[in-house]
This record gives sequence, C-alpha cells and structure tokens, in this order.
Amino acid sequence: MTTKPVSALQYYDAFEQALSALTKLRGEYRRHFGSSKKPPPAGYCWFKGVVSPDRHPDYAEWACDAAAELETQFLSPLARLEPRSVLDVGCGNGALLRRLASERRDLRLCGVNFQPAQVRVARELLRGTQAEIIEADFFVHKFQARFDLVCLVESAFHMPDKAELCRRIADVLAPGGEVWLLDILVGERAANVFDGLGRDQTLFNYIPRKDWLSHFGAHGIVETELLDLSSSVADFLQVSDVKVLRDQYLLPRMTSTFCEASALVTAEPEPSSSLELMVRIAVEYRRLSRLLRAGMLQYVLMRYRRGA
Amino acid sequence: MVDTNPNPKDLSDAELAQAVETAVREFLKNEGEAENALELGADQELWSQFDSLLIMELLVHLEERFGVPLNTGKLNPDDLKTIGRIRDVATRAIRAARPKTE
Repeated sequence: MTTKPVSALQYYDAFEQALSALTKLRGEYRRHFGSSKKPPPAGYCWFKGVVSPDRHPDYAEWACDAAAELETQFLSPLARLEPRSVLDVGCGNGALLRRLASERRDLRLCGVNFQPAQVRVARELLRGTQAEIIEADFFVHKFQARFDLVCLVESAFHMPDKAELCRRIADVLAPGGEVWLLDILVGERAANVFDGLGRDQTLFNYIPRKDWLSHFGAHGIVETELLDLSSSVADFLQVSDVKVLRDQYLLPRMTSTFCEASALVTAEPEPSSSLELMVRIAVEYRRLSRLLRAGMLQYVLMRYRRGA
Repeated sequence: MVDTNPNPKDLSDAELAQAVETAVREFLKNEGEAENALELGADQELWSQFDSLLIMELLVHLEERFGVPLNTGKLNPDDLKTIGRIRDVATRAIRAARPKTE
C-alpha cells in the first residue's frame, strides 16, 4: 500500500542514528551513495557495513572508499573550472563543503538548507572554515552574489518542481558557471510510462533526462556531461535479507546509540519509529538497487554549463 | 510436487494469463504489503493504492520471473492502471518471446 509520508528531516535523522557507529569509527558524514571501480567484497550488504562496522569491517571499508571515490569523481573537474565561489544547494550537514574547505582555502563556500536543525549541525562541523551556511529556502532566498559553481548532491530529487529549481539555479549562476548534480533519473526505458515518477510520494521525485535538458535549456544552460553510474551504485546499495537486518543489526543499533548519535541527530526521535523507518529505507534501497540494475532508474552525475 | 514456476512454453494462453495474474497479486501482497492483493478486482485502479516505484519494480519482477524483457518503452501509462491490464500486456509480451510448444 502507499506508505505513510515522512519528512526529509525524519528520514535523515533515522539515517544518522543508524550510521552513528560508522561516524564514530571513521569520522564519516552522511554518505548514502557510492560508486567504485572495485567490486564489493563477497556477501557485501551496505546496511551491515555501515550499521555494524565492527562486525563487517571489510564492508564498511569498501562502502566508505566507494563513497569517497564518488565524491572525488564528482569534484574532479574543479581544477579545470577554477571556480571562485561554490554554492551547495540542500547541503545537509555540510559534508561536501567540509571537503572543499579542507582542500581549497581560497574558495568562497556557501551552503543553503531550510532545515534549522541540520543547519545547526553543519555550522558545528564547519566551524573554523570559510564556509557559510545559510538557513533559508533556496527558492526564495536573496543571495548577495552569483556563484561560479552550483552543486546539488542527492538533493534535487527531494524537490518536486524541477522547472522552478532550474529557474532558481539560473538566477544564482554566474555567466560561464556550471551546475554539477548527483541525482536519480527515470531511465529511458521507463520514461514514457513513468513520467514524473514519485509525484505520488513526498520525499523523492525523479524525472527523465529530457526534462532536465528542457528545464535548464530554457535558461541557456546546457548539458556538458552525463555519466551513468547505475551499475556501480546498484552494487553499493546491495541489501541482504531485511528481516535479518532488522533483528540483528538495526534493532540493537537504533535502540542503544542515542549518545553516540547525539552530535548529528537533530532531535531525539522515538526509537521504535526510527527503527521502522530504517527498515523501510532498507526495503527502498533494495528496490532502488534492483531498479538501477534493470535500467528503470539511473543514478547519474550530470554537469551543465551556462554560456559566458 | 506442484511446479510453481512452470515454463511459459508449456502453458496454454489462459494458463499463462492466470500465472501472470497470480505473480502480480503475490508481488503486490509480499512487496506492497497489500493484504487484500489476492482479492483486488482485476479492473480496480492500482495507482491510488501503490506508489509508482512499486509498480516499476513489479515489471522488473515479471521480467525476472518469466525470463522475458518487457518492452516498457512501448507501454503507455494506461497499460499499468489495473492488474488486468498488466496481466494482458505482460502475457502478450511473454507469449511473443516464448511461443507455446505445439
């Protein structure tokens, strides 16, 4: 049946709880997707690795490396573009900005997020860096200057109105500037049937590539690269038996780690509801992996550029 | 022992259609958590009850279950509105790829 809607905040809070052991062990921050050229270890399950890195260090290691590899690939044209300013739209807890700040002290870095609690966490994690986190709705906030690079890392799929999103990006993008996205598309083989997939949901909204081209094209912003990472991301998202996950991994983690998680969880949630939410997320990850493998959905890195 | 996964080539058209419909209902019950999936009318609208990702996964499930790719590029949204329509388009695709053994 149609599942009960959850907010992005509930969703990510539950994630932070589940990932708290990994956060503590590795200093990792909210990397939910990864892509590696190396195959995963035998029997790999993402949830087992990140929920219990002590029991499955090889899974955790591979997942962390794959997430870092994806981030490196995402940022690889930075030297070519040489931006002076970067805006991260829907910056979450500021993980991408944290990496940029550690590598490039000369960049003007800005993140925007409308969730007050996530903003608080991001500001804490970015203290001492040049990054500025703005608590605002990206769709209405008046920025002081335009940006050479606008990034959306797994945030655009939370925004239902992509035409308006592209219009807003055009507002804040400097001439010659670029937009880089990691996102999920409705695959070509499914585009006719599932146009606007996910509009019946509240949390995820996927559209086909042709719609991105059209929405950005209306503002003179054109695609320069489309990298389909579906196969490797499907490997990353592999989920084993959900009942085992629930009883042997998520249940102990979600009911005993509030202290470990406190630095990142924005509000103390009800343990049982978070547990059930994570079980649901595990089911959705399994589904996502299957749909990516079948070509119904595509996980892609997209780059767009505005004419100078 | 009853063969729960028969080869489509060995089934009559009516038996194949029934096997497809059963596979659809069982998927919706197990993956869509719809306890009433076995009793849903074949012409009842699905979109109001199930989200679109689940319907998409149902197509993948049918492809894997019957070993036949469904040409989803040629489907239209109406083809997926009800169990009966899904049954019919899937049965036609499976039969085209796996003709009945004479």
